[in-house]
Amino acid sequence: MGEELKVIIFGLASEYYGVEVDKVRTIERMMPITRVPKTPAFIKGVINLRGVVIPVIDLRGRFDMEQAEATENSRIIIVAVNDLEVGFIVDSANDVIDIDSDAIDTPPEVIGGIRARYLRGVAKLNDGRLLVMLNLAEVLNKEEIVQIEQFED
Amino acid sequence: MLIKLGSEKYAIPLSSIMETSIVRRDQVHHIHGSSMIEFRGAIIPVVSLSKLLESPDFDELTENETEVVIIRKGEKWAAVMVDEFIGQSDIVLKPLGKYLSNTAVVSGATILGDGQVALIIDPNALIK
Repeated sequence: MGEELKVIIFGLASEYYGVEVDKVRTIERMMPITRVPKTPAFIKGVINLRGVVIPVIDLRGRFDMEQAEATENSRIIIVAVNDLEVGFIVDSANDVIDIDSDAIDTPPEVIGGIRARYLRGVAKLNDGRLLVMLNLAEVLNKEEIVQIEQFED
Repeated sequence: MLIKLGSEKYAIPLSSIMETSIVRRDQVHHIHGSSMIEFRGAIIPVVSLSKLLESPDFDELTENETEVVIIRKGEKWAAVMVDEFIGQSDIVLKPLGKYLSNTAVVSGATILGDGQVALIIDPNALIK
């Protein structure tokens, strides 16, 4: 048996993703977002979270998924990693579950490429669903974003 | 000072604002590809904030008269075209957070009375 991990499950398109609970500050409903000019397209802007200005990322855009309109179920998950505080727009935030860290397999090499860099692993849930565990530090990796900016210029 | 660009609100620090004014379209001269206006006997460049900030719903080309904010950086002046003036107000400067630390033109953000976030323009970035 490995460690027990508490994980928040959220949905993005048809997939389920997981982040560790201790990285998550709060989960908010959608709120007005102020656009910030001259930023990559997946940075939606900034929000006022109880008096603190926090940048918000569209996770669909970050993962090169098709864009979608916000719905009733859309949520902003505020995470804190390496003293960065950032909000993620996700399609839904469903559940908190416990998983055994042994149940997380590293992503198979076949997936490869850049995408695998921000995946921490794949966990199989008791009900048979597969949960993609994110490596948040890589999702927020500035270097990659700087590269994207240069590419856009 | 708070200004409007279509549906978006921005703040420009009063410390670098000389005055505000209105320019008619025929007062804008095009000199070697850049727009200039005559202002108090000097020729100063005109900056389109809507183009610079890629404003989604405001374009001063649709207006015959445009409000301008005259800003100063040292000895240099520039006229910044905006949609509407909202007015002066005391605001609290808040950082955009580490994640967005190196954004051009924007120096920070503030929270308005209605809870909306307004970005603060860095006037020094508007004058080369």
